[in-house]
This record gives sequence, structure tokens and C-alpha cells, in this order.
Amino acid sequence: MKNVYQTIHTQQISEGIRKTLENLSSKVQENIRRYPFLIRYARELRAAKIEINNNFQYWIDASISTLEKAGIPVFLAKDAKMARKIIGEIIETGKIVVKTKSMVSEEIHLREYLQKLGNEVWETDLGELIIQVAGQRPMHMVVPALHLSEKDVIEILKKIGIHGNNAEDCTLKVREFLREKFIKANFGISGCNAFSAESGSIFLIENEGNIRLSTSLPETYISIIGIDKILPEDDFALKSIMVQSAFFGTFPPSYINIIRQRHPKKMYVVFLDNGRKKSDEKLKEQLLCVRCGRCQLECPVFQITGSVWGGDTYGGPMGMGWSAITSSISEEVYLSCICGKCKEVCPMDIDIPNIILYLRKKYLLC
Amino acid sequence: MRSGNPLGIEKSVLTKWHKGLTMELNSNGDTLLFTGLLYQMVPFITRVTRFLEKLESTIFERFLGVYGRASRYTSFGALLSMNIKPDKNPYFNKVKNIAVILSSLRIDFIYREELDNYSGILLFDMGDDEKFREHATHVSQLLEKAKINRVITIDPHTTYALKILYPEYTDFDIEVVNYLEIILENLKGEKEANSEKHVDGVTIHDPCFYARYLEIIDQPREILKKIGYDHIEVKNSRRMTSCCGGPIESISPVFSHEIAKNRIAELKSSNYQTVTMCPVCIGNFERCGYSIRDISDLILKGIV
Repeated sequence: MKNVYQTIHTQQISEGIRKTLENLSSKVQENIRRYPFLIRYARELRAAKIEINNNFQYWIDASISTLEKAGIPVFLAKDAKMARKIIGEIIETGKIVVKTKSMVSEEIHLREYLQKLGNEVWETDLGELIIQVAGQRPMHMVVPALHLSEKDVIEILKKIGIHGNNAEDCTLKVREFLREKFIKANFGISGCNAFSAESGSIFLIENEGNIRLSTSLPETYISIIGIDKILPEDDFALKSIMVQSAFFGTFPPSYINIIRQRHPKKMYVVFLDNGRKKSDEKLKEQLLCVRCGRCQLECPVFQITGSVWGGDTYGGPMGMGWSAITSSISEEVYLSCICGKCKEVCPMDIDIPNIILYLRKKYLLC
Repeated sequence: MRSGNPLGIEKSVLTKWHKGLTMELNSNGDTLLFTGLLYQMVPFITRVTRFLEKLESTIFERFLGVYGRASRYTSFGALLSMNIKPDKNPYFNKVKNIAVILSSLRIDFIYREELDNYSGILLFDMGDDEKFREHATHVSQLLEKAKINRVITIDPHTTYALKILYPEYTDFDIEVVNYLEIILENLKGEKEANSEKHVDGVTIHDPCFYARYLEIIDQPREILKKIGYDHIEVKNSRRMTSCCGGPIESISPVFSHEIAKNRIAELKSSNYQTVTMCPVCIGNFERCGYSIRDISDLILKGIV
């Protein structure tokens, strides 16, 4: 828990989270008030995701079949290593790759792997690019650089030759910097917010427009999809991205991308299992998560530690379950207050405290 | 937990809270005041936590596993708490208040030291199901043998343990009522107990386990209204209440302190005195330099 302790002395983390929470909390309330159907959508989504969880193999097969019929090469990676290998063999070496912010690619440490193969890889979400250049981990799933001040960002961006005077200036210069990368990129890589097995469509939401460019400009596009993102129909996939964005606080999102085919450009889909399918009954509940990140911002421990606490990739209360599924149970499960706020704010009504208590039991038995 | 509590304190040190009580406690009957000993443990918890906070993140600590961290409580608890004498325990007064309030409202109850035990909730929180089950079975068998039909609990953690967990983990089949529920029920039958309006309003800090696990949210508000207090909702109240940090004080007093600081800032913003109804919250806030009143102090003044 050494790294977690260091967060106490990093006041910028708690300040960044507090500001983000203050900014978004009222917006979430407003979204629920103005669009009461969101609660109904979340309930319907939960039921659909439970059905998927109980019949993963059927839905994986159905998704693969839909994509293959559309002529899209599809892979199923059983773990992170296999996913990296598949993607590495497609990209090979010496390429320029533009990436969108994706937790599933963090989960498999894809950027570092592709760089090791000799590729030039760029994150194209502004916050994620800052994190990449700083050599850090995202502090929150949706707002990865919330702990960094304007001054920090100005200094960090100098490493890639961007000399901005303030946040606005930096943003403009980053845009110019990335524009060149988008044009030259051989590959674009994204995750997936929701996938429809019915149509084989990949649903992605964003506020910057970088996903649109990363998935359309390069000659070849690769989408990595956690099997938990599979939904039966377009209807559910749309509902999923609405719930995700509304409960994070940015609703409607600036851009909704629905990607099906890219003729004549190439496209690959890699489904990632990495522990999801074999999760036991208790942990399967975590797979209902749409990753809005609200439980993180509202958690009293996360408000101090950010994503440093909560496991290798996802962080915070939901990160405990996700880390146990995709990696291992962390000793840090004991730092949770079990106060229940995460469950209270979860749109999918996931009993996160119960999952954490379950992980403590399993940890003791190890 | 040979002593029956996580601090390893001799039980009689905690059950003598009623010493000096002017009223007489009954011992024959089937409704038991079950304090769960949590209020009485607060001064001990505070002392041990303060000591361990100084040790935290030192090299010594890094050699301890998580379970070791929690079990230090037992090792240091008994040692450090030796000089807190029962008659010097300020939290005894809070339990006394509750007994007097119940009695004033003519609520029949008995108290028997041998039947009043720690609930074992920390074992459950640590994920040690087997030890929790063992402890809960022992506690519930004592109650059943004594033919207790109903227990009155006085804090959220003990209430949650007995009301929700005991029936799940043991054959426990005894009615559990929380004192706030029973006080409100009995106040409803009477006129406004002491309707003299208090000038200052109060802010309520909802304990997480009352608000989100047991849905005891309106009861304290209605009681306060009955005794003439307006309450002002603070940012993050009711089901959205913020944690005091207390639940992890045995694992990390340092983090627990940081969490308390954030909640204290929210509570202070109301400019009214804060009341709560959980010994863990009160103890942790006090350790972190914020004095908060127990609702029983106000109820006692309001109705007796």
C-alpha cells in the first residue's frame, strides 16, 4: 500500500477530485430530474447485462458471427498476453498508431507493448496524452489528468515540444500537434463503450472529437472490446451509452460514434475475455458496470487517493472488483470504509460494498 | 477475541456503565437493552487509534499484513487502556442517557450485564466469516437461553449486526428494535414532549449504516422536531451522507483521519451544532478535533 500512502501528501489529487465532483454532481442530479427515463434505461440495461453474463459464450459467438458476416476479421483473446500478441501481429513495427482513451487497453498495457515493438503510439484524448507524456497512470477513468494543475500541464507538454502559455493555448497547440499524427497514422485503436451483437456496431461516446478522427482517418482501425460490453441489440447499446454519460455528468455527449464497416478501409475487432467469463457469481455483478466512474468520485477513500487505490487498472471501489476479475485481489480492499455510497450512486445498482466484503473473505483464504 | 471485543478489554469494564444511575434497572423481563458495548469502547478505541496513527507508515508497520494491523488493536488495546477506569469513561453517560430516556417514556426493558456483548461486527467487516459466525452464535445463544424476545439496540453497527447479519449467520430469531425507532413510536402517542422551541437549529450527520443500510433517516429528524429543534440539512445528508472515516480506523488511522477532515469541512459549513447517533462517528470526529453531540443528550434534555 506504499503508493497509496504517498497520495495523502499529494493534495492536488484530492483537490482535483473535489473540483470534478462539484462540477459534475449537480449535473448528474439535473440529468436524472430532466430525463427520468434514464433510470428506466439503467434498469433495463441491468436485466440485459445479467442475461449476457449468464450466457457469455452464446453472445460472444453471436457477435463474432455478425462481424464475420460483414467481412470484419474478429479475434477472441482469452487474456491480456494473447490480446497484445494479436494486435502486435496486426501492427508489426515502425508504424504510427493513434489511440483513443480506453480502459481495456490500459488493462492489457497495450501502448507500452506497441512502443516496445518499435511503433510510435499517441494517445489522442487530451487528458490521456498528458498522462502518457508525464509517464503516469490515469487518476480517473473519464478524467485521467484531474490531479494536474495548469502549471503542471504546461511543464509536461514541453517534453513533446509544446510550449503553451495557458490551458487554452496548450489545447490549441496539442490539436495542431495531434492533427499531424492523425493524418500520418497507419493505425487507429479504440476501446468500446457498448457493442451490439445484433448489428455488429461499436458505440463510442466522446466530448473532444478525437475518437471520430482516430477511428476514421487511419487506413486500419482496431477495436478492442471487453466481452462485458456486448449487448443484444442496438437499442440496449444506445441506452448503455446514455446511462454512462448521464451518470458521469456529461449528457448528452458531444459526439456519439456508431461504427459498423469501413469499406474500403480495413477494420479488426478483438474481443477480450481476461477473466470475465470465468468470474464467479459475486464478481459477475461487477461486469454489469457501465464505467461511468461516479462511484469513484463519490467514494471517501478515492477522494484522497484517486486511482492509486483500487487495483492495477481501474481504481476506486469499482476497481476492486475489476482488478479481481482481470488481475488479482489487492490487499487494498481493506482500505474501503464499506460506507455504501458507491452502491447508492451506481446507476446499475451494483452492490459494490458486498463485492469488497466478498474479496476480503477471499483474500483471507488465500 | 477471547475477551469478546476487538480491544481485548475485560468485559466488566464496559458493562458497568450503569453505576451511579439514579433509576433502578430491571433484570426480569424479556426485552433487553443490548448496548453492544460500542459506545463504552470509544475512549479505548480513540486512545489506541491515536497511538497507532503515530506508528503508521513506519517501517514497523510495513511488516504487518492487513489482518495484523487489525489484530494490533487487541495487543495494544488492553495495554493502553489499563488506566481508563470505568468511572472515568465519559461515554458511559451517553448510555445512561438512553436508559433514562427509555425509562421516562415508560418503555419496559431489562439490563443484564452477562447478556450484553459486543456484536462481532469487526470480524464481519474484516471478511472473517467463520469467526463472526462463531461469535454471533455464542451471543445469540446466550440471549435465547435467557428467553429474551426483543432487544433494544443503541448504535448503527450493532443494530445492523443483530437485525440483518445474525439471522443470516445463525438461528437468531429475536426481534431487534433500534432505540430511535422505539423512542419515536412512544413520543408519537404523547403531546409535543417539550415543545419549547430552541433558538438554534441543528445539523444532522447521518451515520452511513443508519442511512444506507437500515434506512433510519426520518426517525432522528422527527424526534428532534418533537423536542423543539429545527434541523438543517447539510451537504451530503440522508442517503447521500458522507462517511466519517471511522470504519477504517483499525486499518489505517491516517486515512481515517483524512476522510474525517473532509466530512468535518462539510459539517462546519452549516454553522449549526452537529448531532449524530453513532459512537464510531463521534469518536473519530473527536480524535480529529471536531466535537459533535450525541442525539441522546438533546433527547434527554427535551423530554426528561
